[in-house]
Amino acid sequence: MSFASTVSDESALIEDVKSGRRASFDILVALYQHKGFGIAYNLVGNIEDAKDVLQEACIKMYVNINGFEARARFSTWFYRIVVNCALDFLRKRKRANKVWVEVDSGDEDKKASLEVPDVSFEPARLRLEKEFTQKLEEGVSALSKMQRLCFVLRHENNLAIREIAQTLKCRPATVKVHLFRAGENLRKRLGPYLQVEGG
Amino acid sequence: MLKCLMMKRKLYDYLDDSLTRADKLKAQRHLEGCSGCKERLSQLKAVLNRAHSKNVPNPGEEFWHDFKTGLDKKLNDKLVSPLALRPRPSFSLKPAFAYAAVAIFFIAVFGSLYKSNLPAAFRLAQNDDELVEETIELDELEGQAALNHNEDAYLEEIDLLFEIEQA
Repeated sequence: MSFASTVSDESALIEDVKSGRRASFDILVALYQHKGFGIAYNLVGNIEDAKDVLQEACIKMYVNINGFEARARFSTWFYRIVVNCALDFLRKRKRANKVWVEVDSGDEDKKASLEVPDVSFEPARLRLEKEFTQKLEEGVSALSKMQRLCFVLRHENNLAIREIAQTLKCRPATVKVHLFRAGENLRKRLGPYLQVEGG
Repeated sequence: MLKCLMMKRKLYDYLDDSLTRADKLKAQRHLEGCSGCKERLSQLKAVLNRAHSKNVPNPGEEFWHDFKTGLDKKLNDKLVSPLALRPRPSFSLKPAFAYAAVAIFFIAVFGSLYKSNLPAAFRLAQNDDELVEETIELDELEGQAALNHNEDAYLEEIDLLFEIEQA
């Protein structure tokens, strides 16, 4: 399927949703739910909360679909809604310095939200790598809002800089500045772990 | 030191491969000779690599089924509530500006027509007769009437009165 036909199909879907057609809304959600879930998960830190955030974003998308202008990209418009819902969620939960790490407890339906200490024997390097990952999570959580958003969207969700700029309604140069500062802050914070990582 | 400061600002773009070819060559030359910047680069690279390797869990079909069911329920609840949140018509500025411009036009037209029907006492003199009448009224004012920038015009009106009387 060519890019042009994909875009025109999406435009037709959006027009249907504006008319209130729920079937087209379901298709549109299915197209963007995985990416939206990834953004929500990387911002809120666990599956259940990410699900709630994504549901809220989809509802807002439906209610405000008439405010979407066809000349803009739907993806960046929707990601902006997801980001705003995630930020609202975090504000309500007041999770300024809390990091939730998913741990596979063996039951696919229930994932533990707290990190369980691994008491099994493991090489020191592996243990330090896990700590490094956790410290990275904490470091990202401690960044300023814009630095965290830009960093998460770029490096954990692989959005292009222009896409991030459109999502956050700022200039690409501004995104670059935030990314530079986020990288520098994390590098300074994770100094001891970076020696093990080969830094 | 200045070169290291400049290099520090370009490290991120260097890793992101977004430097121009010339800048990239300059950066590489600097890194070959500066252990501090080299170390800083590898630390940043480690941070970014770890962030990239973070996996978003793939929840599976049951999760998405629950997600869809929950979404439908929440959306139905909102749509059937007294404050039904159906897709709202968007407010566009362009028609609003057009309506405002038309309204201003009609107000101006009616305003000018209305203005012409105002009693003479409420507007400036529009012809000689009214000017004379106004001048007479000014003369009859007790005390000192504060004549402002129209003082010259007032004097001209007095002269006009004399000419009319003598005519």
